Amino acid sequence: MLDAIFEGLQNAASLENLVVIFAGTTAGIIFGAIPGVGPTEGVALLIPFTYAMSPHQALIFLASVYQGGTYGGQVAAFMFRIPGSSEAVCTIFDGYPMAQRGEAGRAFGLGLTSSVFGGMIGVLALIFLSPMLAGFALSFSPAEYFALGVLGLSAISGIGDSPSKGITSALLGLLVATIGLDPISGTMRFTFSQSFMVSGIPMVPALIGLFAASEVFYNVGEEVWKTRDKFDYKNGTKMSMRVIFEVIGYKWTVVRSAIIGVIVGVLPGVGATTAGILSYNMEQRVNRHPEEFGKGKAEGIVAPEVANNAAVGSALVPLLSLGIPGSGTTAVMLAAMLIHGLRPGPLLMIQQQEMAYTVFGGMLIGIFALLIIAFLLLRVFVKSLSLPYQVLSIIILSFCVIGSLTVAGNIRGVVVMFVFGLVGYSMRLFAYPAAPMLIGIVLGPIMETSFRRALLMNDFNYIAVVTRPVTLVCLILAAGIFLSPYISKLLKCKPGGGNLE
Amino acid sequence: MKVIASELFFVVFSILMLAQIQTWDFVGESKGLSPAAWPKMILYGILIFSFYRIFAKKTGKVKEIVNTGNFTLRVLSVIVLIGSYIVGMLYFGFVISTLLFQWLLLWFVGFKKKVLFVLSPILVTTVIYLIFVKMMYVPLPRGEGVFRALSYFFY
Repeated sequence: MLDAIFEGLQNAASLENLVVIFAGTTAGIIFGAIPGVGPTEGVALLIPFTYAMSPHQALIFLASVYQGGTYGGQVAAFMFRIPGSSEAVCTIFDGYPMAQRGEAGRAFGLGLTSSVFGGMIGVLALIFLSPMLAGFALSFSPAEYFALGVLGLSAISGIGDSPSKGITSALLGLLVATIGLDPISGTMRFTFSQSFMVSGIPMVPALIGLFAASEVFYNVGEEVWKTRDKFDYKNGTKMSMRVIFEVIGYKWTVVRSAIIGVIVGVLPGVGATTAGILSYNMEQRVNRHPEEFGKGKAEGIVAPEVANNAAVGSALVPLLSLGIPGSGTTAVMLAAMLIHGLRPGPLLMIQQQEMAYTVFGGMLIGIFALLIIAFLLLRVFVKSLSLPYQVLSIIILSFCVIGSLTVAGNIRGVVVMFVFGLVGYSMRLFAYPAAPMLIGIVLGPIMETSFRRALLMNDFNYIAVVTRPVTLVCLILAAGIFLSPYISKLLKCKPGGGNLE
Repeated sequence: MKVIASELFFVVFSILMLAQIQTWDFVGESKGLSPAAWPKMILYGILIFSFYRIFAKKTGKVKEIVNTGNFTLRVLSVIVLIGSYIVGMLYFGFVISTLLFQWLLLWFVGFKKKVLFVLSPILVTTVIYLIFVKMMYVPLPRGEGVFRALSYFFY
C-alpha cells in the first residue's frame, strides 16, 4: 500500500498536475470566500474547465477546488459574519468576534492552520481507512441519522445567555425547515397557497440574512463606526507563525474534531456542515470555559475548521470506494467523474488503483498549495477590514443581495434574505441567539425525514427506533448535553435562591 | 417587559400555526404519522418554553437582559432602503439600482469622505459585475422599459 501511495505522490507532483492543483485551490478559495457561492457551486461551475484534462487531472482539479472552497468559506465568516459557504456556519460564532476585537490576523491564522491539519487528516483517512469507514457508514439506518441530528441540535443549550431561548430559537429553525412540500406525503406545509413557497425556504439566503444583514442593521443602530475605527488594525492584521503552535496546543480539540469530521464526512448525505456543527458542540461541552464560546474563543475556530476540512477527504471515501456521494459537493463530483468516463465504486479502486492514488497524492499536495495560496491572500483579505465601516456595510449588503440572487436564481432569494435579516435583527433586539435557529434550519430536513422513515421501517414502534445501539448512545449523549446547563446550575444554586436561566 | 412581549408573541404565533396545520392530520393518518406530526411537536415545544419563560419571569428566575441594541430611525431608514432596493431592482435593473442603493446608504449612515463616497459604490458594483456577470453568467434583473434596453449594453 505504501508503494502505491509514494507512486501516487510522485505522479501527482508532475509540473502539469502541480499547475492544476494550484489553479484549483486558488479558484476554490475565491469561490468559497464569495458569499453565496460555496465549494458545491465552485465545483459545478468549473466542470467545463476539466473537459480538456485527463480524468485523473480533472479529479485532482475538482478535489482541489473542494478543499480550497471549504477553507475559503471562513474568509467571509471572519470579515463580514457571512458564512461564505455553509461549511463555515460555526466558524462565524467565534471567528467574527475575534476579528472585530482587532485580532483578525490571529483568527485567519487559526482558521488556516486548523484547515490544513483537518484537511491532512481527512486525506490520510481517505487513504488508509476507506474500506473500513465505508462499511461502518453503510450500516447507518434513518434512526441513526435522526439521533445524529438530535446530537447536533444539543449544541444549542450552550449558546447564548439563556438555554430556553436557545432551544426556542432552534425550534423556530426546525419549523422554518418544514416550509414547503412534505418530503414523504407531498402535502403543502406553511405555503399559504403561495407557489413560490412550495420548494421551501432556500437555506443559504436565509443564513446570509440571519447573520450578515442583521449584523449591519445592528451596527447601524449602534453607530459602530464611531468606535470601530479606533481599533488597532495595523497590529491586528499581523499573522504570526505562533498560531501554528497555538493550534498544536489545542491538540485534543484537533483530535476530537478530526475524528468527528472523518466519521461524519463518510456518512452519505450528511457532509462537512454537520461535521462543523457537531465538533463545535462537542468542544463547547468539554471546554472548561463554555461561557467564552461565541465571544472570540480560539477553540471555537479550531474545532469547526478541523472538522469540516477533515470531512472533505472522508466525504470522498464512499464516493470512490462505493460510488455513493458523501456530500452535495461529492454528488457534483460524481457527475464530473461520469462525464470523464469513470465509474466510481469498488472496481475503481482495484482496476484503476494508480489513478486513485494519484488523486490521493494530488489532494495531499493540495493541502500545501492551500497553505501557500491562503497565506499570500490573507494580507489582502485582512487589510480590507481596515476600510471604514460605512463602506464595508455597502460591500456586505451588496454581497448579501448578489449572493442570495445567485443561489436562488431569482429575486425570491433576495426577499428571503431580507426577511431573515429582519428576523435575525429582531431576535438580537430581544436577546434570542440566532445560531441555534441556523442549526435547526440545517439539520431540520435530515432529522424529520430520518425520524419518519425510521418509524415507517419499524412499524411505528418508537421503542424499536430509539433502542438501536448507535441511536441510543447518541440520544443519551444529547439528553446529557441538553440538561447539563440546568443540572450544573441547579447544583450551584443555594437553597431558596438562584437563577435557572 | 421585553421578555414578556417576545414570549407572548411566540404563544400567539404557535397557537395560530397549530390552528393552520389541523387539516394536515387527515393526510396519511392511516399510516400513523401525518405531515402535521413533526411541526406539531415543534410548535408544542415553542409553547412550552414560552410559558416556562413567562412563569420564570413572574417568579423572578429570569434575568432581564438589557442593552441588546438600539432600534433607531437610522436603522428603520436602512431597512426601508433595502426593501426599496429589492423592488427597485425589478424596475431599474441590477446595476443602476445597486449604484443608487449604495450611494443612498452611504448618505444615510452619514459617511463624509467625499472621494470614497463617490468611488466605492462604483468599484463595488464593477467587481460584482465582473465576477457574477462576466465570469459566472448569473442572470441579473434587467428592469423595465428604457432600463431594460440599457442593461443589454452591460449584460
